[in-house]
Amino acid sequence: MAELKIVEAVRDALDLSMQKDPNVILLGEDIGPLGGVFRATQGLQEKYGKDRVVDTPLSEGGILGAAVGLAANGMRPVAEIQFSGFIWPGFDHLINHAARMRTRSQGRFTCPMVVRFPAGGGIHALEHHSESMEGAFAHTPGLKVVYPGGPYEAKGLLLAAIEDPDTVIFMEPERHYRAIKEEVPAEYYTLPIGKAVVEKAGNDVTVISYGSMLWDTKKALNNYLMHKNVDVELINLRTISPLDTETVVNSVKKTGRCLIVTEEPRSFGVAAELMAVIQEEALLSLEAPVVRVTGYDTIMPYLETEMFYIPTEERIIAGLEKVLNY
Amino acid sequence: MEITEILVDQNGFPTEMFQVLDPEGNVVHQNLLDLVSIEQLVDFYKWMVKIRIADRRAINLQRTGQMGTYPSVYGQEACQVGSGLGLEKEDWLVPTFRETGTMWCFGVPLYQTLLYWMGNETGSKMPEDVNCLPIAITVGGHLPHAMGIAWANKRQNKPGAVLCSFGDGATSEGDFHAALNFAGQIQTANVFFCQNNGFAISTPRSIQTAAKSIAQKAFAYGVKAIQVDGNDVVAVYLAVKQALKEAKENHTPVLIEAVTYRLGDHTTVDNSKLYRADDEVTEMQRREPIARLKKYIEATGLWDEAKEAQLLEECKKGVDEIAEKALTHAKLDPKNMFTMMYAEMTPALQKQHDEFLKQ
Repeated sequence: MAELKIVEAVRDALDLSMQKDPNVILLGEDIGPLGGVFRATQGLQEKYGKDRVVDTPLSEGGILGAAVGLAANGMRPVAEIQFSGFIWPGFDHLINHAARMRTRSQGRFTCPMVVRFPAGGGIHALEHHSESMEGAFAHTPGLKVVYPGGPYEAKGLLLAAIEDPDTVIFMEPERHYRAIKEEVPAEYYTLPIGKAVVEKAGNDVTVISYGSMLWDTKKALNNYLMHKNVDVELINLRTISPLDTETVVNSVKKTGRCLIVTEEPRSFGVAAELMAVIQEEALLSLEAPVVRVTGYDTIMPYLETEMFYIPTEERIIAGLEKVLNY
Repeated sequence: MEITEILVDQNGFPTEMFQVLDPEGNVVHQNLLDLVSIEQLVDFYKWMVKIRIADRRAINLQRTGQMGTYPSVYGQEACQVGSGLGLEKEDWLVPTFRETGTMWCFGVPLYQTLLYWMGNETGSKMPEDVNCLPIAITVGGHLPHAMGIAWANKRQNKPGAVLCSFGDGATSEGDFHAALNFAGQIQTANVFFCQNNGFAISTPRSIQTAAKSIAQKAFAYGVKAIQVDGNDVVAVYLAVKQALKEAKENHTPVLIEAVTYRLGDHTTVDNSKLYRADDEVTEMQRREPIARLKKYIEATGLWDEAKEAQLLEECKKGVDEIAEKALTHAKLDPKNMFTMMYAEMTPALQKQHDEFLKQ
């Protein structure tokens, strides 16, 4: 089995989906000869032609609006938005159209489309290149939001997203695109959307994370557990919406303690939703208040100070000790 | 003038509106009028009358509390009939919200449109054999969707062009720019049909753009254009036909600006007396589409008062039956709001659905 980086796993999934389904069409800015600014589509235009890997005019509204029409008329568009902060000119097409087409037309038309973009900070990029706004998408009824951590799940979940009958927002961990390598099967496979995975079973405390923060969380835990004897259960959400509440609640009922680590702004976010679900369904099992370590309710700072926004190892461990020592 | 000459690219800037019949019912281009049969002319007339009666009935349903807010098509019947009947079965219609007539002409049953304005989503479930997207309420948002649909047709070698209708206000939205730019660049079979009815609620056309015409905006995108008298049903029909032909044969998008006038209020909750003079409306009444065609078909002996009386009676009866069908239609099961969100309900939705049913 070959070892792939995240960006290579994404490319592999796109390649296999285009081989399998002639209705898959990639559209976005600079995805052709350049292969996308992160090279996620490198070589695909050469392989599948300019009609299937389409460099569009520079317009997120045009890309996502056209994708709605393509999807409603039988295609499987996979749109690339270059950076997370640039999606908003096209957000109208997601919230007002893609997410509603099935209900609006009572099933006569649907929008099976995927919108991919790199998310999260830490690569010293410019403003609008580093946001973690999964909560905004997850708060939109009708969308699904997937945010894989590593290469294996990026491939399996992207293939599942392209097969999915509804619109899927697919966030890719920007600062780990090339930092993480994993063994990835060469063949076509899917992983279920809406299912979290227990990365490590444990009895003392549940730690929940996903996407880019999964790696920061793992690193912090590894360093901490080298000299502390705590039996941590680590959950990787993989999908933000629909949320796998069953896996989360079962785990918290077992451990009685929970730490949530996300990069998004704190208020009204994924961590807040998890805390709400846990108090609704596992309150009497809790031995400590749930703790969340998140980004701040600030805009993502410029590159000079972005590392102060992204949860650090110290903040993650402080959160862990807070929930353990309550 | 020949029919093949009516669409212009940036090299042939339009100086006057395309017209076949003037407001007095005089023939401007006999050779172009001859492209339409006598039966078609009478059919156009009947449809316009039928739509006006249906439109009045819809307003009446709102006024009597049996329907929600409704946007009247009064004054725009020529645009609606010319575009709706210009489409072929293989084509698509991507409508804005002021399209009662267009959708009806294209095959969307009128009772469904009434049901939609009554607030029942079933009204938007288009028949399987009618390629029509549901009504778009967001102004201009549906233009890129129309482009995407035509793009899918091109990719899948499906026949048919896509006619997207919208008003003058929509041309100020970024999506107008995005859609025409994409269509021009990717060369899709799109007809962008702007019914410039003079107003976006209260805002006059003059506030939307400093451009002399909306049609001329097409040239910036490498898209062909025509400005047509939107109260001349024959001119609208011929323009739409020619644009669809051009789009299908050459994958060349076309922008049609049909200049018309919204004789009614924006919707049933609007009061247009607050922002326009009665004199202006009276003058525009004189140019309205139905009277114009009636003058012509009466003058040529195709129509008389006896036929008129019979038509009015038939239309009234027909529209009453359709309204009754909408009024007595089964209410939407409210649990539909949960079950229709995704192909399969998410666990959270399932839970909310079950809680709702227990209430």
